[in-house]
Amino acid sequence: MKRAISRITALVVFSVLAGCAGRQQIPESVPPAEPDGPPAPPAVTLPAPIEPQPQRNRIAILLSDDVASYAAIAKQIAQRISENDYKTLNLDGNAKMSASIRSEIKQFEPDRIVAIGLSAAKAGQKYTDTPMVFCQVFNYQDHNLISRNSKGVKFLPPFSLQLEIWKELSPDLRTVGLIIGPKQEELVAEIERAAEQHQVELLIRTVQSDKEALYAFKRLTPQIQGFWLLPDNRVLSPTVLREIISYGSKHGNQTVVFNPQLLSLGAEISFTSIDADVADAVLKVLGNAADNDALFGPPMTPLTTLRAEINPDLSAELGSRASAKLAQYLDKN
Amino acid sequence: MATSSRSREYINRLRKQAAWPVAGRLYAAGYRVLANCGRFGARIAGKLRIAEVAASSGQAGAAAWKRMRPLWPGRSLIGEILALQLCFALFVGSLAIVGLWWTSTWAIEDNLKKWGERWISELDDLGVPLYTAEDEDKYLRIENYINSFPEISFVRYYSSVGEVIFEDFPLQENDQVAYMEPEYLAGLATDSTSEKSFMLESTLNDSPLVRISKPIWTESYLDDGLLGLDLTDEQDVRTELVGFIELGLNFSSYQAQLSRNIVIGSLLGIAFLIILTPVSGIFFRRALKPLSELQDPLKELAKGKTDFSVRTSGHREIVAIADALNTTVSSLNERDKKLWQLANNDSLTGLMNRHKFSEMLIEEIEKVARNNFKSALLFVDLDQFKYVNDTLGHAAGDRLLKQAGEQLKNGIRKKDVVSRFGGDEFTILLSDVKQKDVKVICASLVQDMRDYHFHEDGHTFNIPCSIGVAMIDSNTVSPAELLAHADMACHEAKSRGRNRFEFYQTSGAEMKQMTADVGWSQQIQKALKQDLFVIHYQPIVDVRTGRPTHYEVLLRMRTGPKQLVPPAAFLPAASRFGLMTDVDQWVIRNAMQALAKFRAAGQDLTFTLNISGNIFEDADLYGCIEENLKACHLPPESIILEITEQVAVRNIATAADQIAEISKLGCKFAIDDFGAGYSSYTYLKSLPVDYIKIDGSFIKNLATDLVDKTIVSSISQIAQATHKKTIAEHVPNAATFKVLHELEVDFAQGYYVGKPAARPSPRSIPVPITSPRPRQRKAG
Repeated sequence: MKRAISRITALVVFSVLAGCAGRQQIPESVPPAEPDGPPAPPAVTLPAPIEPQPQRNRIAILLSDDVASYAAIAKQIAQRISENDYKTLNLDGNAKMSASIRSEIKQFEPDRIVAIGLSAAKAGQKYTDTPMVFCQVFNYQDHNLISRNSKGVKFLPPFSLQLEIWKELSPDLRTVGLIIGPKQEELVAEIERAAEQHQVELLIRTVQSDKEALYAFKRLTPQIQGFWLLPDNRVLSPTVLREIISYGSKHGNQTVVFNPQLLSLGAEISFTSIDADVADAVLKVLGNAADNDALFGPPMTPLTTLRAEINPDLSAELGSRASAKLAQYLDKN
Repeated sequence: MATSSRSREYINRLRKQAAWPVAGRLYAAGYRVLANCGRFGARIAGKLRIAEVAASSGQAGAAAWKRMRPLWPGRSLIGEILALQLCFALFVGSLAIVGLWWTSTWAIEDNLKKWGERWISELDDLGVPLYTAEDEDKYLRIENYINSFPEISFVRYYSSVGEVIFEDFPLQENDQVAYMEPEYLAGLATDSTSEKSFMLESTLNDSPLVRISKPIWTESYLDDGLLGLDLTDEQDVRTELVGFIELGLNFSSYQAQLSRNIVIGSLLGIAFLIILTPVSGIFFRRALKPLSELQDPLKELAKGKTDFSVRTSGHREIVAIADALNTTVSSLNERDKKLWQLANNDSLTGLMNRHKFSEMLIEEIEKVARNNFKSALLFVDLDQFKYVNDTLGHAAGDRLLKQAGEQLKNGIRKKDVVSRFGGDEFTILLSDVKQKDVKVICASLVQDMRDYHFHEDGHTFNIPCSIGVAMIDSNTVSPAELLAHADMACHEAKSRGRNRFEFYQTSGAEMKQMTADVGWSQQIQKALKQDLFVIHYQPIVDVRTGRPTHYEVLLRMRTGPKQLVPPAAFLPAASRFGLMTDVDQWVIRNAMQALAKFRAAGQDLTFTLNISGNIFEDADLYGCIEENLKACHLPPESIILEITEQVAVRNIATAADQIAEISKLGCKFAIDDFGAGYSSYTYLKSLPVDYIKIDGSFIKNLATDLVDKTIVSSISQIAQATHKKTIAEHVPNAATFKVLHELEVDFAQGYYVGKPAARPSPRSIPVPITSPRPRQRKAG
């Protein structure tokens, strides 16, 4: 109940902020929220989506599990390829796929595969001759998901954009800490570039486990003003997740998280991807397929926009000053 | 001080035992030291039972202890209360110390375990770099941490396969503690569901250590766990065993501190007790002082002294005891006074009795001999007492005696004493008096008694008295002799016309006769001592059959070879000189012994024994009869006790009780000389006797005297009516026997029936066959 109230308060505050700006702009590519889907939070939508260009007829959409966010993205994709033949399959968390799923895929004989989530990506990886675009996968390096005909869409919204908004909210932000698991050099490089762009010092610690993450975080805390929590499941556990946010909050550090639920634990800002943006990116990659089923383009296609939510306490603290700045920023975008 | 003196006495005795073993000597020395410390030391020695140690050292020591025990101070109430208080305090103190030790130890262990959990949890965090990251300070952090806590004896980090990757012993102690075995580690790692899977061991290698060990787990979200993040749900996680932590905690410093505190606390407690004990002793003594003060009165009471009273202030319990003691003392005093009066005073007149007077006489004789002065003994006999007693009855006689006693008492000096010597005889002791003054006093007494008139039942009697005087001087030998002299002088006064006094004089025929009486008393005493009395037996026959059924035991005194003296010669002197009870007891004892012999020889005899008023009224006749019956194994019914009519009626209620009590043994009673004295038929109804012996004065002329015949007939009829048997005494001839037969008298005794003889005669008497006895005993 408290969380619901908190969330509603956040939405209201955010709406007020947007109203004060007077020019709330909702991307055209973002469809209105479906009555039966999860409620779409008021979002700060940034760049306009790219029109999807489906290339082939039979597209298998594999969902790792019965998760709302996966389903929402699948729905967005489905809307965009409605003239084509597609099939949505839920793997229920089983990357090895059940016999029935395998049979359905075999019968369907997809020309393209869209995998949403790591389990789906790992399952689609088995169909080596079929081009696959995966999304909502953070640790794609650990599983060799990038290949000639397998490309991905980045999990997180653009770091530069995240940092820009964060800076707007906290202009004094100078030092940001970041803890991440191994084999994330590209991601780290991208973040470093964004930090450099926004003149923020980035202190990055690479850890192996949740214990090490907590250990590193506690030692990093005195040196940073904000902490950027990335969704690396390898080095996060429920306990550590809660403790990091709680510890950072106690020590006056702002924490940026990847899921709005974490705001209730004490995080200040949540940046999440927008389903439509993800769907557009996926279809864009699919549109780059060559005749030999190879996929052109970068291994991981970046997203273009994001959804931001702020902690109600922070909203109250920002007041009209923060709202004006945010509105100005939104105008720019 | 008493204890010390006893101790010294005992030590001196110990010194005399030269053959003592070492233990005994050591004990003696120890006891001497303690005893020299005074009473308190001796008590401590007693409490500590040092003597038992000595006793256990050998038999000689035990013997020493036995010899010493009587010298040991007795138990004291205050001492016991103090000892009890001390024991209670020690018990509570011990309990408190044990409880404190247990609780503190438990609290320390519990607290330390909780701290241990916290420490191991923090060391888990601090040890993270050991497993993953490169951190130059990783060891330093751990060392700094554990150095902050002296309770941490050591810490070890193990890898997941059990290899030690880091260990530190900050105190450089217990570094030999064994590593955890792989099996142990495997057991530790079985539960990965909880971060708090601790294992505790109380001891390690017999050292005061507690080991806490814990597996180190890492967790991570599943592959898609963060995308489907739901904080409201407990999500599945992936776990991985990284290693183990072993933490050694040392309680010894706490336990040592606790022990020190408890020892200090105990010592303070003991010191407090040591201080408190004498203080408590003072308070207890003060509180119980009234009780202690009762000791001396109680000791006096135990010695028989009752001339004290106890103070009754203080606590109510003590007051109650003191009151009870005072009441007891008062009661004892009253009882003593009554007993003294009973023992020394005549119950009728309240004057000093014969026994007490005899004692005073002895004292006076000694005093006279010592101080060379003279005193006088007066023997007073009321001249008309027997007349008054016989005509007006005992009650009147008693009243006369009381008034006469008062009269005599009023006629003497304050320092003189008067006693009722017996019957109508009084004795007066005039102390430190000259003969001329004695004469004045005696003359005054005679005159007073002459002037005195006894009024009773409308009659007035003159009660003159005769007084015999015996002067007491340094030549007086014995009270008996003095009494005899006074008695003889009294007889002299009577013989000279009564109503006068006479001094004892050694000349004159009467005095010689009286001297002879004194000789009889000496003879009787000699006979009792030398067994010079002889028993003769006179048969009593059944008038209907003529056969002897009883034998009256008659006493004779052997005064020379073949020379026997009848009782009439010596019994008056025996009565006068207070020897009757001894004579009676001799008769009872010897008669029963003789009867036992006869019965053992096959003669089934029954004896009648004459007993005097002295033994009947004063001595324990019941005990005497019972004792001799038992000693001789005689059936009680074989003994008939004869008492005279005078004795029986003198105090008829007492006599009836005495007869009834002895009758319960089974003995029979007979009234002797019935008709010669007071002769009231009412007595026959009241007295529970079995036989009536008709006085011989009615029998000797029975055959010719119609009056005697009528009297005897009436006595016989009354006896039949009261279910008593009759015995006729002094039956002189066959004619009398025949009349007795006609008058239905049951038994006959006399010279005609049989003279007294040394042996019971079985001879029968011819029974008149022409005089059928129509009498039929009425039933009931």
